[in-house]
Amino acid sequence: MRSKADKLVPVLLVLGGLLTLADIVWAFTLSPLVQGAVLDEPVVIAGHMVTTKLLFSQKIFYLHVPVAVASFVAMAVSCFHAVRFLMTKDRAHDLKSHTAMQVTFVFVLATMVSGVIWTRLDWNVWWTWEPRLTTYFILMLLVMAYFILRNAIDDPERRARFCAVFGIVAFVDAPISFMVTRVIPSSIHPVVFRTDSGLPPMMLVPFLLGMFGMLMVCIAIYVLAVRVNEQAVVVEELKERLEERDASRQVAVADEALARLRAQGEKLSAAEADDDSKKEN
Amino acid sequence: MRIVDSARPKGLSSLAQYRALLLKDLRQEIRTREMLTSMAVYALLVLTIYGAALSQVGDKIQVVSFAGGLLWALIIFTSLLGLNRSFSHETESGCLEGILLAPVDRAIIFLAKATSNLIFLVAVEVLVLPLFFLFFLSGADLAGTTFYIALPLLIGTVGVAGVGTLLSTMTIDTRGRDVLLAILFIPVAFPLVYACVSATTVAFMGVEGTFGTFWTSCAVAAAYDVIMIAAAWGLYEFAVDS
Repeated sequence: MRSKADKLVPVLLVLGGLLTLADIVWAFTLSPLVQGAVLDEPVVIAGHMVTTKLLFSQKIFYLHVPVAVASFVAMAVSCFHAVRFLMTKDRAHDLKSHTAMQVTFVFVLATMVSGVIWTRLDWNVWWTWEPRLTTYFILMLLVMAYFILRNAIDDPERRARFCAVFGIVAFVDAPISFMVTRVIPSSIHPVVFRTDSGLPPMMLVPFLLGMFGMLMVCIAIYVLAVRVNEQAVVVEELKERLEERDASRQVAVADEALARLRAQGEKLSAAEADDDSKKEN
Repeated sequence: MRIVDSARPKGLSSLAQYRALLLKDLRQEIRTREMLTSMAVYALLVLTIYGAALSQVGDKIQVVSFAGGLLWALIIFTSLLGLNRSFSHETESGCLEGILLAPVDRAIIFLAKATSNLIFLVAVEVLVLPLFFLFFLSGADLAGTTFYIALPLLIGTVGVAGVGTLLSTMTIDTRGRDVLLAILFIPVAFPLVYACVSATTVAFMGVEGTFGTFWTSCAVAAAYDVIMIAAAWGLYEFAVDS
């Protein structure tokens, strides 16, 4: 069960944590304050003009974006294993797909929380139906729906199959959410991933540190969670076997009791027959 | 069921299989009118709720500006009801098992079911749309471009029928399937609804120079249809119990 990947887990976790920490420290100390989202023109959200003043809240960027990217990566892994499951029918792929979806959910929640804080500070609203927010919100609902579907089906084979199908269908929203800021130019979400990202080195370096750190943490959590879920499956199997053994023991006890009763009955009937023959005599 | 009996696997083309399955659904609906009646009545009830919801706004608010959204909310909720129903009589008396036992490609079953769902949805829309105009838009000045709403309505309904058929097949035998279908369907269909509402609203407003958005939204919705129906077509054999 244990592989090379397991030995790497603590290393990844520590390294990822350190990189992320470096990102945070760097972001708050060395990185310059910037204008919020770089806008082509000022945008009015819920009556507030989103200006281009210096924004401290932009610091969330150094965590928010890596976490969001990690959530997309985890969901892609889940989709990949869903496809593999449908091709091979190997239950191990279903387990990995399910685990990756769990990891996705954690990162999606983290993205949502950091994003909502940011929108509140930066745009003065808790929520706005902006394209990126909307599609990401839908992504969260899809991940939740995946787990609800999983809980609604008892038969493990069907559960694995249906969840794989839904995981693939749900993944269609991920590229939409990722690309939407490029497709709809009016979107107030800045495009971060591009060749001329326009980030000065003092911002780019911590951002990349955070990016790699968060991905390492993501991988480490994923590998750990896979092991936990594998153990859960083993425990489930052991439980079943124990129940079976319990049941077979009970059957044995019942059989024994039945045999005893039969013997008693035979003895009684023999005695009765004896009595009868005595009376006749 | 007569159709299934007469279907001889030998030499029966895919088209004939498709037609047989589709006709079975249509015939069943014509005889029972179960789905159409419940969907139409439900749509009427949603319209009634709209009436209450909008009863206090008076003349100050132009209903035309959000009629597209109202219309799509109506369509989505009504389709959810219909999609839930569409498989309920398949599970009764083992009809689905019968179809699956027949040597028919799963993709053809999907296409036939999606087509029959599409036909029912369009039928309900044809019934409900005039009522919607009568109740909420009879006093409004309609733009000359209003009839353009037919295009997003058609594209949207095709997508709803396609995705809905896949998801309602998966939820047939699950616990609390009515709720589960809604939980799965609404987020999956969201991009489609978003694009369709956008296109419909542009058509309702009919402002000069905004028709670029109309065509873009229709293109997005059509792209969604193509991707989702292709995915559903490919994945259907895993979604239907074998």
